[in-house]
Amino acid sequence: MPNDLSGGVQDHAQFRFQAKGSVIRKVLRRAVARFNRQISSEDAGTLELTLAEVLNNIVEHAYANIPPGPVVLSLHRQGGSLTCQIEDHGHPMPGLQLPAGRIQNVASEIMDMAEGGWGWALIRAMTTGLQYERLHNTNRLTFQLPLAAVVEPQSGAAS
Amino acid sequence: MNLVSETIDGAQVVRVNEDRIDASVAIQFKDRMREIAGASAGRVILDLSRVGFVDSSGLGAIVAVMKFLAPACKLELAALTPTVGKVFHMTRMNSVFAIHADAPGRGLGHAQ
Repeated sequence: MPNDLSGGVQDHAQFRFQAKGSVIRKVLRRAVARFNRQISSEDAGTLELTLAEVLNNIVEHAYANIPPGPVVLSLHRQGGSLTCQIEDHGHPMPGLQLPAGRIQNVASEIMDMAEGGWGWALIRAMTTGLQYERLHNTNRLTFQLPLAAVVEPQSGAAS
Repeated sequence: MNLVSETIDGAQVVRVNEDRIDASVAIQFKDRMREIAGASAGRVILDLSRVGFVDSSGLGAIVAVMKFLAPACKLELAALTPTVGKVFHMTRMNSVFAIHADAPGRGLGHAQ
C-alpha cells in the first residue's frame, strides 16, 4: 500500500451514489476508511467533516425539489495533499458562484444565535484551492485538503 | 437516538450514546432533548465523550437545544472529542458554551 507522503505516490478512489440523506453516512464511512491508514486521525476528521458539509449541501440544495440524482466523489492523494472532486447534476449554485461563507459573529443574545449557516464557512476554513464550475448540467466542486505526514508502524499492523 | 440522563451533584447529565450527531439525526436529537430536559431547571450537561462526529446540522441542533432550554436552564458541554472540538472552535461556538474537559461522574452507575 502506498504510504509515502513525500514523493510521487498516488492513490485514487471514486464513489458513485444517489444524493439521498440516508446514503451520505455510508459514503462518508467508506471514503474515510479508504484513506484511514494513510492519513492522520486529525486529517481523517477534517476529510469527513468537509465531505459531510459538501454532500449534505448537495442533498439539501442542489437536488432541492427535484428527484435525487447521482453524485460522483473522486479522491486523489498525491504527496501531502488530497484532492477532492464532487460532481452532481442538480441545480446550479445561485449566481454560478460559491456562497461567501464567512463565520458569523456570535450574537450576544442567546435567542438571536444562528442555528446554521456554517457549512460553507467550515468548507472554506478546511480546504485550499476551492473551485466551482458549472459544465453543461453538472456542478463540479474541487478542493484540496492538506495532509500531515503520517508515521506508520513498520510492523504489527494488520493489512 | 440513545440519550441517558442522570442527576449528578445537582446537574442533569445527559450522555449521548451515539457515534454521531449529524444531518440525519439532528431533528431526533432536538426532539429527544426536549423530552428529556425540556422541563428541567438549572444546569444540563451534555456528555459528548462518545460522539466522534458533529457536522454543521448537528451543531445547529445543539444550539437549538441551548435556546429552548434557556433561560430556566443552562446547557453546558463536556468531554468533546478532537473532531467535535474543532467544529466548535472553527465556528466560535466554543465561546458560547461552558465546555468541561471531562464528563461528571463518568463511569459511575452505568456499566458498559
